[in-house]
Parts: sequence; C-alpha cells; structure tokens
Amino acid sequence: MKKQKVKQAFALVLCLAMMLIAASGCAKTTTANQSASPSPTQQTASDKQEITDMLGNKVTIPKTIKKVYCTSPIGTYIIYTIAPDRLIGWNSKMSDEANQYINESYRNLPALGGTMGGQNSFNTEEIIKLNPDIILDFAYNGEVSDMVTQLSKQSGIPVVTLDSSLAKTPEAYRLLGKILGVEDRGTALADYAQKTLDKVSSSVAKVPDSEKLRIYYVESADGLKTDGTDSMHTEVINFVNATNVVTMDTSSSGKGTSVSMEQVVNWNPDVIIANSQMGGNEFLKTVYNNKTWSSISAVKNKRIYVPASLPFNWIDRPPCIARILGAEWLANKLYPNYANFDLKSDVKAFYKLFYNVDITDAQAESLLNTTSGIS
Amino acid sequence: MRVLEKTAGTSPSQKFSRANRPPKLPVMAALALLPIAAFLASLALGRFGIPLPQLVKIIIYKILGLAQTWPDTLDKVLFNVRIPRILCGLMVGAALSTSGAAYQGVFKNPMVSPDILGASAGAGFGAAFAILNNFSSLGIQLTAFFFGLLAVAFTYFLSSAMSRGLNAVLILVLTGMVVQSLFSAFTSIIKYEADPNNKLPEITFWLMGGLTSTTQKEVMMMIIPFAIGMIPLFLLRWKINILSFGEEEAKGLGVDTGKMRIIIIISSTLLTSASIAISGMIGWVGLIIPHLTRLIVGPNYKTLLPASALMGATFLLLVDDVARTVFVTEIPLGILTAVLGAPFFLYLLFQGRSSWE
Repeated sequence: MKKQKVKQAFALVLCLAMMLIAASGCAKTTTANQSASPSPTQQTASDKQEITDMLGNKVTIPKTIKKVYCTSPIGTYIIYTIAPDRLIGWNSKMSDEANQYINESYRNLPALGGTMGGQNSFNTEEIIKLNPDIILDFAYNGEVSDMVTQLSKQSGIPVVTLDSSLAKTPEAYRLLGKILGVEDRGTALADYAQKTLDKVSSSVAKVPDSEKLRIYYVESADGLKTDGTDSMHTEVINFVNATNVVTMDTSSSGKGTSVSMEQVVNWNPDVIIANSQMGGNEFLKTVYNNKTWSSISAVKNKRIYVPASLPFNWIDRPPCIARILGAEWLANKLYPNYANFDLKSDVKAFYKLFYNVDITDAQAESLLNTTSGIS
Repeated sequence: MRVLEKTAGTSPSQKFSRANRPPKLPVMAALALLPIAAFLASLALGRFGIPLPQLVKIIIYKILGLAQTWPDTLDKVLFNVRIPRILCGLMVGAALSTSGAAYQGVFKNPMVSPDILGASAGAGFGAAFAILNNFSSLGIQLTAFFFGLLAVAFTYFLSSAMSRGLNAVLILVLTGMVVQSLFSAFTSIIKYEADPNNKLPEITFWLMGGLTSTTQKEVMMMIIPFAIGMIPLFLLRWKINILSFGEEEAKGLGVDTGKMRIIIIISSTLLTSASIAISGMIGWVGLIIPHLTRLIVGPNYKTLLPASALMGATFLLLVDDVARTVFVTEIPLGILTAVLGAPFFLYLLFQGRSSWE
C-alpha cells in the first residue's frame, strides 16, 4: 500500500514537473524578449525603414536587404526576375528542363519548401539559420496564411505581403525595386509588364460579345479537375476577355476541383487550356482518341492549348510573373484577329529582360509550339 | 482473438500474479530518465546548429537569470522554436499513448487506440465544424473534444449492441473503423463547403498541423487539457486493472464500473482531442506504444500507464527530431509514425496468427 502511494506521488510529481518545465520555458522566453527588444532598435535605428506593403501593413525592414525568403514560388520567381542574388533558395527543386532557362549560378540553390497547397513544408529552424532579411509572401484577395504569420512571429523576421493578382504585377515590381534598392530594374520590369498588359487588354476589349470564347481549364490527366472564375489560378482567362465555363466555387488550395464528365459535355467549351504541370500533356495525348471527349466543341475543332511551362508556367501553377507573357500568348491564340502580336520577338524580349537569357529563334518557336493543340 | 488477449497479457490468472509482483523500481527509474535524456538531446538537435558549450551556457545563464550575452537569433531559435516544439512533442506523445493504454484497458481490447475508436476522426470533424462556424479557439477545442467523445460513444454502444459478447474484440475494431470513416467523410463534406480562400486553408492546417509551427501559445494551450486528462487517469490507473478483468469481477470487488469507465473514457478522449488540436492527426502512437510498454513492464496498469506516458513522450519526441532535422524541408510527422507503426501492427497480427496454429 505504501509503495503504491509512493508511486502515485511519483507520477504526480512527474506530471507537475513537466508542466513546470513548460511554464518556466515560457516565462524565460518572455523575459528574454523584453530584455532583448530595446537593443536592436537603439543600435540599428538608422539601418531600418518603414514601408507599406500591398495589403497596407506598415512593416519595419532593414534598409539594405541582402537575403529574401519567399513563402511560395510566386514570390521566388518575381525575386528571381528582379534581383536573383537576393534569393536564398527555391521552394522545390528546379527540373532539368527549367534549368536550361535559369542562370547557372542559381540552378543549385537549395529547395527550402514553402506554404503551397495549404500545407507548409519549410523548416522553421532552417529559415532562421539562413537568416533572411525579409519574408516575402503573396496574397490573393488579401488572404494571408497563418503559417507565414507564425513563421514571422517565431523568427522575428518581418513579412512583406504583396498582391498576387495579374493586374497588380507592375505595382509589385515597383515596390520590390524600392525595397531591394534596385529601383531602375524594378521600373524597367514594371513598365514592360504594364505596357504588355495594356496592349493585351486594349486589343481583347475589341472582341464583340458574340465572339467571346468559352474556356474550360484542365488540371489533371483525365481532364476532370479544374478551377473556376473565382480562383487565383484562372486569372489569365478572365484577363483576356474569355469566359470560364466554371462559375461555381472552386477550391484555391490543393489540386483543383473535380467535376463530372457529363458536366463538361454540358458546358461544351469552345476552347480547352490544359496545364502541363497538372497532367496537361497526358491529357492532350489521349483526348483526341477519346470517344466521350470527341463530342465537345473544343475537341472537335482541335482547340486545346497547353501553355509553355519553362522555366515558369505561362498561365498558372504557380500564378506568377510569367503570366505577363502568357496573357499575350493566350489573347493571340484565342482572338488572332484582334490580338495580332509578333509573339516570337516578344518571347525573346521577355526572356531576355526578365530571365536574362538569350534564346534562339528555335527555342522561342519550341516554347510557342508546345502550345499548339495539333502537332 | 484469444491470442491477442494473450499478447496483451489479459488472462486473469496471469494478471493477478503479475499485479501482485512488486513493480520493478530500476525499470521505472530508467523509463523516467528516457524522456529527460531525449529532451536534453533534442535541445542540441536542429537545422540551426548551436554548439554544445554555448547551449549549456545559455541554459545555465537562463536558469541563473543572468543577462543575455549571445545573439538574439540563438535565443529565438531555442526559446521560440525549439523548446516549445520539444515540449509539445513530449506532451502529445505522452497524451496519445496514455489514452491508448487507457482505452485498451477500459474496452478490454488490445487492438484499440484513439484512431481506431474514432476519437481522432471525431475530434477532427468537431474542429472543422467549429472553424466553419467561426468559433473561438477555446470553442474549437471544446467542439473537437465533444465530437471525439461522441465518436467513441458511437463506437462503443454500437459494437456492444452488435456483438453481445461474441467476438467483441473484432467487432469493436470494425465498428471503430466505420465510425472513423463516417466522421472523416463528414470532415470532407465540411471542407467541400468551406470558403476556399479563408476557411479551407485554416481547416487543412488544423487537420494536418504537425508540430511544424509550434510556439509558446501551443504549449500553453496543451498544458491545461493535458493536466485535466492526465491526472484522473494517473489516480485511477489501478482501477483500470479491475475494469479489464470484466464487469462481474469488478463489481465483485466493489468498483462502480459504469462511473469509472465514463471518467476514464472522458479523460482519454480529452487527451486525444487536445493532441490533435496541437499536432493534427498522428496515427499509430496510441496503439504501438502501450504494446511496447507492456512487453517491458507487464500488464499492470499501476506501472503500465505512467510507463506508457514516458515511452510515448520519448518516442514522439525522437520521431519529431527526425522530422525536423534530417532534410532541409519538413517531413510530415504522421508519415513517419505510420512507417514505423504499420509494420508493428502487422507484427502483432502475425504474433496472433502463429499462436492460433
């Protein structure tokens, strides 16, 4: 009996000890924070500046920013185009095909993970170890991920949040130019982006309603996953004055929303755009021999397009700066009579200016040709 | 199924002989040292290298309350990232395996665990439901707890109505699987209904969670339900022995089995749902750790329960150390426990099979 009492007491003590350790750990941290917080502001006040990010948050960041961690490829790719030397890593490993268009010194940057698809794969300690000056996050419709807020809280590294919508790309470039101290570069890219977007929207504006095309966006090899008009993934379709047949709510995280074959037949889209990142090439290989799909007008008229994806996808996944070129390309594919651009020279100019690679005519053609439905 | 009971050592005569044997003190002392050793080792592990002498110095300075002489970054890594995560790992591991051990005793069934009984799936559904309806974070916890309890109640009453003593072990496991997939389906419906820009990522984050972004806030959130669930189980743990003999014997010994069972189930479910709130659904721990512990200390709940807590805490902490140190990016914790747990479960089944023949 006595022994049992001892045992019980022991277990209780253990339980309490665990709680105490936990509690004291917390207490210690708070005092540590208090004692540590005044010092950085005193010694480095002049090295800091306050900026307003695209969500209207006032953020205090270092004046010189040498290292940036981006929480998703949207951010990583925009930094790669404006100031690649500030990148501390990709979010996932770049493929060999993509690496053809990536400058050699950045091909082997580590893959640090990110918050893509509603799941976070970054390692908090690893990010703190790499010690970036800011965390760059992109939000669509102003929605910020809890995981990013948490990372910033834990690491003490400020988060700058930009707007990922296509039309705000020039603004994002200007702000980044200012933050990173590369204003000339930022302005150059912003101007090019603005000019291209203006060119595209003014030409597609002339398309009469009667000629507006109805688009279905394919995000799986069987063609039955898609995203609707409300999604961050289909902005280019809306931008080029086409109608996405999918108007229902679709999930923006994860891998697209499932729909039924009968529903697709019922929608009967004029054009299908298939994303090669999401099984689009496999879809294209089989769709023309598929009896069910053959009744759909886009398939009958062979109007299925797979946008180029190197080094970054032109349309979506991720919805990044390559969409500037993607919008131009899609407008031309859909409405060649209204949006008649010299695509080959624009592709070369875009790759030179944004990615700093000289591509040959053959490469430009092959990028444009991955897009043709019939080969 | 008799063989499985044998694995768990629940034959009454065996139990009495074991129960009367004094618990081996050195074994318990060694088990108590395990989580402490794991805690200290984990302090030194991480992607952010902190040299051992510096680590020791920081700890000593902190304990003595001396001024900080090390860079702020070190402080952040240690106190905002690493220690909260270690503490949560310990608590989640202890909670899951203690509740697993308690469930196994109360249901007289060595094959059950929080996930098999549906407690995890029920709690997950409750959380998703609460998030969808804009509950506060306390509200989310309570709803998760309530639905976890509801799921266990479903499993228990349905299976006892069905089995009437026949094949009870198997039927409880099968009913649990049904309840579990039912609640998972409800969760999927909620995810389908949720606003994709706002609620859905929050629900996904909650369900998949992991210990990835554990902060002091999570530690504080865990401590209270952890204590509320753990203390009654510790105090009542010898009565679980009596419950596991069977209704008749327990009543003969003057134990109010009904009340006892309810208290133990409530405490265990609270531990489960609180763990899920912190770390998302982590399978297998609640099943394999009590079994491993039984192999070491025997089936007497007086020692089995605390030993399970100690082993579980150590196990989950070590697995999480792997998750956070091996690669540049994180490996989800649930994947690792499944890789370790599934083969162990198969081993249990094989053990059972070989003794049938």
